[in-house]
Amino acid sequence: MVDRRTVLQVAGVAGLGLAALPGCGREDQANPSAPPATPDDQQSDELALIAAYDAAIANAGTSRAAQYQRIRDEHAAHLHALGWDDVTAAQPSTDAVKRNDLIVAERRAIRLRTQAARTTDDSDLAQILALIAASEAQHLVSLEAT
Amino acid sequence: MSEALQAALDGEYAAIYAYGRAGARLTTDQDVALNDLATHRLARDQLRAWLMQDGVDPAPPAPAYALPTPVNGNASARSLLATVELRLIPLFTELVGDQRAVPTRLNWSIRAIRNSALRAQAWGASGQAFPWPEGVAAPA
Repeated sequence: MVDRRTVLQVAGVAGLGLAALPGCGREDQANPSAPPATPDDQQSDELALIAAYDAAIANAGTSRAAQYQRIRDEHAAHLHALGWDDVTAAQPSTDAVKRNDLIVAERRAIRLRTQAARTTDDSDLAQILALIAASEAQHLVSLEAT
Repeated sequence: MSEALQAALDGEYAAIYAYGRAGARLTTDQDVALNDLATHRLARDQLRAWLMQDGVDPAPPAPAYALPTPVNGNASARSLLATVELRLIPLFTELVGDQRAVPTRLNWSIRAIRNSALRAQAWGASGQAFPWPEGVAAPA
């Protein structure tokens, strides 16, 4: 269960999305007897976005790399808020990732997050997903403007 | 349930007031501000309608609202509008939790968060992992 208040206070208000939050993980991660956790759909999508930005940063110029890094860090904060802390699980893409690929990925992310916010039974998670969708919409605008 | 709707309505009243004050100081993007103002009026009307649907009399707007910073030119007007948009986000976020039993209202609230975040960005707010106003506590 994501602790919305803690996540919003630390990640949203203070703008420190990467800070470690004890007790923020999902229940299956907190239980040592649980089988090894695998990321759910939302977490997997955030991991894929992080990997895409890492690949794009590797081939971007200085200015664009800074923009990509900022967005990549925000995706890492989303991932953390969704209860998955291991950013290294993002497998770097071996293919070249261009700006248009990132735009397509962000569009898909907005759609996924919005749909999940509509359908989840978890009210706190719905709020986090709606805020993440809004952040990803900001990414899209930012990418399309450059 | 009505408290969250009324709080969002109060936020829209304040936003409409702020657009009125800031609009007079903008030297660019006045058309954007007018369009945003129209959007906030629609949101106000929608929230009022839902309150009435729930059997609650919507509270009227205050005669005036305190502005967080003085508005004396284009830059401060844009900054005010960015702030106002971000300050609506906690209110809509509360609605996502509060109104989720009614799909139309839930969808509206999710869209409202996104649209406020985008308008804030357009008025100069930085992108955020969780679009949220500075110094405003997370909802209970």
